[in-house]
Amino acid sequence: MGINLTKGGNAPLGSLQKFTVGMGWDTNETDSGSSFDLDASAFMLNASGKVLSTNHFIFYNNLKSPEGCVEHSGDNLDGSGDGDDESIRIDLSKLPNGCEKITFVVTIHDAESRRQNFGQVRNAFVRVYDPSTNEEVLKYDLGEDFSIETAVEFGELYIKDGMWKFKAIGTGFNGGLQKFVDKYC
Amino acid sequence: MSTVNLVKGQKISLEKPGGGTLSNVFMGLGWDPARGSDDIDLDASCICLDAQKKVVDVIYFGQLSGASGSVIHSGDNLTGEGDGDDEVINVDLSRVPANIESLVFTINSFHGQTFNEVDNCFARLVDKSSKTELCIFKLNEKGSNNAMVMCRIYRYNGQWKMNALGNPANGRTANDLLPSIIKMY
Repeated sequence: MGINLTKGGNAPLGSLQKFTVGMGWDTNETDSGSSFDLDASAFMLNASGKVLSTNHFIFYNNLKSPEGCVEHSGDNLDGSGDGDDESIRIDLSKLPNGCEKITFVVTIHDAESRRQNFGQVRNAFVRVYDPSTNEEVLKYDLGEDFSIETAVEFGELYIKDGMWKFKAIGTGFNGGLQKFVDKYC
Repeated sequence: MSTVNLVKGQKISLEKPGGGTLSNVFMGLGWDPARGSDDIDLDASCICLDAQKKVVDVIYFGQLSGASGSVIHSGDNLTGEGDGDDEVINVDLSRVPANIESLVFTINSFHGQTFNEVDNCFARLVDKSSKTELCIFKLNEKGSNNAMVMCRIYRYNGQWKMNALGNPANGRTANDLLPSIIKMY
């Protein structure tokens, strides 16, 4: 049983070098209307909070960072099933120079035309686990208090005093994935 | 406080600006027959659920008062307060029993007419003391369903919030909708 984080909280990752950041969610079932497609992405940021390069923005069209430090499991189109809906593998031994933070976001694909938002998403979580043992290191349940946001920053990995930590963020924005691209690129 | 036009999925706080608490409100629900359709006979209901999404009470045309008298349905063919409302359900939020977490407002067609025959469907929440409309959710979709789960008033961290749902469902009475409702939030 790992650490349960609440919004704003953080936990150290200890000596863990290879781990998986799993993200999951359920969408509110309706008898008609468009299906939901939520996408997890990661931005590998430098000390100024900008991506190292466009290749360090990991999403469904760029699944792996050049050094192999961050690798996306691929797009899950419908969010069905228990457990992680999308996951991102991290190998800190392959961390490129200058990367001080990796932030994890989830956005609703095509939210505007499908008239969808995080008010219709529940049971969202992010967790860090060791894939070799399946042992969960930490988990953050985001709660259900989102509304018209179409993009949510779930959490971030950051280095402090030589130690990697994970911080629970849970901040929502409008504007979908583009919002984060504008912010970090 | 001007009215908020809610979009599907949106959640807003029902705290008054400055921190006051609402108590006496009513939910006005309205609809029109679509052009070319016959008169439409719809029924508004309020389903009270506890934290485990178990039904505590159902307030509908067959039982006009419930939740220890804190929810009172005005019945059909209203006149007076609330222009345009076809049915009104009064709620004293301060008296809703503590075990009730959610008040779900639905519109059903007892005769099985579908929402393809309905126009201008809305749910609006009005503060009775100031006669102020707090928010309105105007449905902009149609469908072959004969029921619509319009919105939900729910407790969150000790205060009441409103969540626009607009989820189609099927059932001639509010009770028929329960299996769908528990998947909606």
